[in-house]
Amino acid sequence: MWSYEKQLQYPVRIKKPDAKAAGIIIAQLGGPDGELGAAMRYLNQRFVMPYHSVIAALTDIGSEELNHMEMIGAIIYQLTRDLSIDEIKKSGFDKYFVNHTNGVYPVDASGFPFSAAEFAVKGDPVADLNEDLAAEQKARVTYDNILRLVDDPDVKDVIRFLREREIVHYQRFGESLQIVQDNLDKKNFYAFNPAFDR
Amino acid sequence: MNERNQLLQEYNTMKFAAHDILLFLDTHPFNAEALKAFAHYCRTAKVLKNEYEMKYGALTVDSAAVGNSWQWIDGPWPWQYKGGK
Repeated sequence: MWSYEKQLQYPVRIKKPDAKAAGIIIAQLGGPDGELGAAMRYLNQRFVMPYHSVIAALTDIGSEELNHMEMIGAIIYQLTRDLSIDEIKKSGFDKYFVNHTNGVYPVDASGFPFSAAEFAVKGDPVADLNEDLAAEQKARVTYDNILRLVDDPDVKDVIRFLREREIVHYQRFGESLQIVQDNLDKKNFYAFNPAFDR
Repeated sequence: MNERNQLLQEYNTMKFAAHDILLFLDTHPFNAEALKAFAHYCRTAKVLKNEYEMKYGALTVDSAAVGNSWQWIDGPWPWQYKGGK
């Protein structure tokens, strides 16, 4: 169960609309390494996870990703409101605009809609946590790339916060993998799948 | 920054500190220092949340039925920053 709190995890206060930046940053909403995929990946992996500590980490990190999804939505909203048709045409945002106007819809930067195929649930704690470690690094790289492409300090400040969180989550997932391995056969971590073999 | 945003930011900072320690505690459940810090930030956040809600309205739905109106529907919603205008 979740309850909503009427604030962002980190404030988003963008003064200048910028359709081009919105078209890039939307990758972190609906792209393969975006926040929507991250939240769904961790929250769905929890069910068969046999260790309480790791269930807690997946729950709390997955819930934080929902906050990040909301922050990316806020960025897209603030970057695309008050745009003139001329600005929309010039920036290349017209291709998104024709389908969604300035509504917030999860696509990647090329316009491909969010796909559940982009997040993985393998049902094996070692495999799933390795997936999660890679996911955090891929999201970190995407934020690094966004920082190369975007100039507005109001936007960069928020992107830097989100990038930092990927690094913290990577650390916690590393510890989670250690906890899983401490519970397995030291001579062969792959001797059985603790989420399936009893 | 106006007084409202200032207070919200103070609360948000304490809440975030508690959240970050929460993630640490999930994988270090017996760390005494982290347990103490978590309790401290939660207590501080609670006081600031109460203060904010008394002055500016509900952040969570359980604080929204105050007086004779349903505060929950009052804006601004978190993404509705108007500073650019």
